[in-house]
Amino acid sequence: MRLKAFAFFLIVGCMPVGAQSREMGQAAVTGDIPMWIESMSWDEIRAQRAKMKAAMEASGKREENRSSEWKGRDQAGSAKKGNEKKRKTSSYMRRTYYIRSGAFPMLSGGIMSMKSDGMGHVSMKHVAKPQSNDHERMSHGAVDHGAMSVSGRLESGRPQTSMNNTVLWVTFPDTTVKAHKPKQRGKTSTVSFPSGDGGWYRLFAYNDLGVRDGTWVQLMSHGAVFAHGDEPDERKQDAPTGPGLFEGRPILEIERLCHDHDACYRAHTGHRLHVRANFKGNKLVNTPVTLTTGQGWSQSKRTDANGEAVFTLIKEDFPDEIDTRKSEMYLLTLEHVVEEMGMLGDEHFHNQRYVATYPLKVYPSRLDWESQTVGFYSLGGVVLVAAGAIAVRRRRRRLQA
Amino acid sequence: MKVYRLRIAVQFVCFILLVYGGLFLIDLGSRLPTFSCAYMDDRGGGCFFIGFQHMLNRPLGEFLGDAGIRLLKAVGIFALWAIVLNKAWCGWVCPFGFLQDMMTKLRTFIGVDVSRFAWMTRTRYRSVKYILLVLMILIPLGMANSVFGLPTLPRDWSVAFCQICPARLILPIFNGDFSQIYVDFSGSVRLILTSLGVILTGLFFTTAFVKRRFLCSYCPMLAALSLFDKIGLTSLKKNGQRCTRCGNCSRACPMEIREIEEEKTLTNLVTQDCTLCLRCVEVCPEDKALQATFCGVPIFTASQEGFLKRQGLPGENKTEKEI
Repeated sequence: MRLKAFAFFLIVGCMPVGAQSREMGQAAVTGDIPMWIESMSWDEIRAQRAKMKAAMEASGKREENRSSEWKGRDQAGSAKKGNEKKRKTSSYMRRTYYIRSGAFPMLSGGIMSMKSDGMGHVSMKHVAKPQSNDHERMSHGAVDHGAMSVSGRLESGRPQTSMNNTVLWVTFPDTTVKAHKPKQRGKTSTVSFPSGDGGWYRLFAYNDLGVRDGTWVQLMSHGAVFAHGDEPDERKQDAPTGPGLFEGRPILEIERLCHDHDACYRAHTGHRLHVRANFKGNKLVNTPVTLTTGQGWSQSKRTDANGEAVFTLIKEDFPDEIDTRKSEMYLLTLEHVVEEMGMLGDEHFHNQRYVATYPLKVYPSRLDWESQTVGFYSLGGVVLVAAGAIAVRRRRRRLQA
Repeated sequence: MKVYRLRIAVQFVCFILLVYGGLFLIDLGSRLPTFSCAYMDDRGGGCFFIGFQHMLNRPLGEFLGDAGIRLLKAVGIFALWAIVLNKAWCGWVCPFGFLQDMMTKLRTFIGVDVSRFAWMTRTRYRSVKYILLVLMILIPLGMANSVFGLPTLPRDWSVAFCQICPARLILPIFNGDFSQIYVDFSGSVRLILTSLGVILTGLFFTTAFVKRRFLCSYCPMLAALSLFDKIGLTSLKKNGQRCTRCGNCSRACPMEIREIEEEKTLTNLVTQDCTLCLRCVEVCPEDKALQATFCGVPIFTASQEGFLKRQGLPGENKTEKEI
């Protein structure tokens, strides 16, 4: 029996481990990437906290800021005008309040950072190097090819992004849908929401840029965050109405199709990315969807008859040292133009342009650092050695007896 | 009633429920005090330890807020489970324990003799499970907090216990997933932890031919459940006055607990290694010497008649024919 078991492990151990797919070739870098949602990691939050603490100590306004922190939290529900005025004295302080509040009212996975480029076309190269961790990372991320253009006004440190009309819709694990108005803090607009329940928090940001050169431009971005914890038992059926939504769903939607939880929980190179394009509840057929990698490689695929497209996430970075937690931002972009004239307020438009993005962090494939073959051989070796040791020991005892 | 057979049947049902429950949309939550491994795709519930390690990986200050509330909630659910069933989680529910029992069956079938450790050896290694439990708490805390200005532990220590747990490697196989049997070369910490996992898995297969439930003696889940020994609703009681020290109980005990035979004054016999399998009650030939109770109500009591019946021997007032 034991020999059979060993043979089994040896055979299984010899099985080849699947090779990683590398079918995507280099394509032209697409143009601007208008808006995307990005989760803020705990390291980033901690870094911001440390920075905030240093700034507060430098300014000597710790107590004053702490009070504004509490008032600021009130503002999420019912703001008092007087408090607002006080906070406007320092945007940096307001930002720090927000991050600090993360420790107390349970933001275990719900702090989101939203960034927008304001639809400009100036390359990042013309912009002074950003100072914060966020922007340093972004300069290596998916936005390193003109996407961070902000009409050439970034040098002031206060980008003129058109985030005023932005709304973030959050679908909670119990399927409740709530709208949040992001607050702009310098280069970054942030929004926070409690994430008590475990499960998926699906995000949809909508930004109405109004009429530009006769085109009504509407930007939208999708995202999803998974929070560990117990998922709610009840599901509420919300069909919200509001900006960016059509019959309770995003007007232009990149829907990520997950065949299982792991497929959407963490994307790895070599995995397949399956998406569907929807416009006003109907599938978008034969429409190009573009996947852009962190290094600027991109691939466009047209949706099939079901409005679906499948990409293989390529590996493009080959670092000398293995960092299992290193991730790169990949971005899906979908654009749809509707030739339809109309009026928006006092302005005429000839057509409507919808641009949707879906950012995702892609981690290196486990095959880069894990060996199942070694695992099987090691297991077989351990079993053999231990079984041998036991047999020898028993034999000795028997002989002694 | 042959408790041994009943236990195998219950273990089998629990195994199906916990390993394949997801296929039937069963979800018993993720705070179960048993090795229903979270790495199984089709599981019907989740092991408490993986979430526990994740929740402890927070700066201490955050435990004053929601992180603390979530931790308390999780520990509360775990404690509730533990209080209700006590160590029966190990003896009757644990899928990994069931596999060890099946390996014992296989050993018996092949005809390999079981070995017994010397009592001194057993006592010496008893503390291993408590050390593992303490490390399981300290390592995640050390990842998020600096002690005396020392650097925090690298993130490779994340869910360190799960990395060495043989259940992570073995149980997913029943979902058709062999991918957990690997060695991680991304760093020295991961290499050591995953190699330890492979070694312990190898020991799972080999030690089953040496000793019954070998790995349970070093299991931190047993250590965690031991904290609720005295307040558990399910209990094992002994009447020392009726015990004749025949030694049947300790010989039959898969965990080789000697106290059950030797103890005369202690009434609650759920000791730190006991898995409440009730094998001792089954083989006890003395009336009411051993008794399993739930909320103080006897659910299974040792009796001479029952013992003889289970052994297939005639009782005092019965002929062989009646049996």
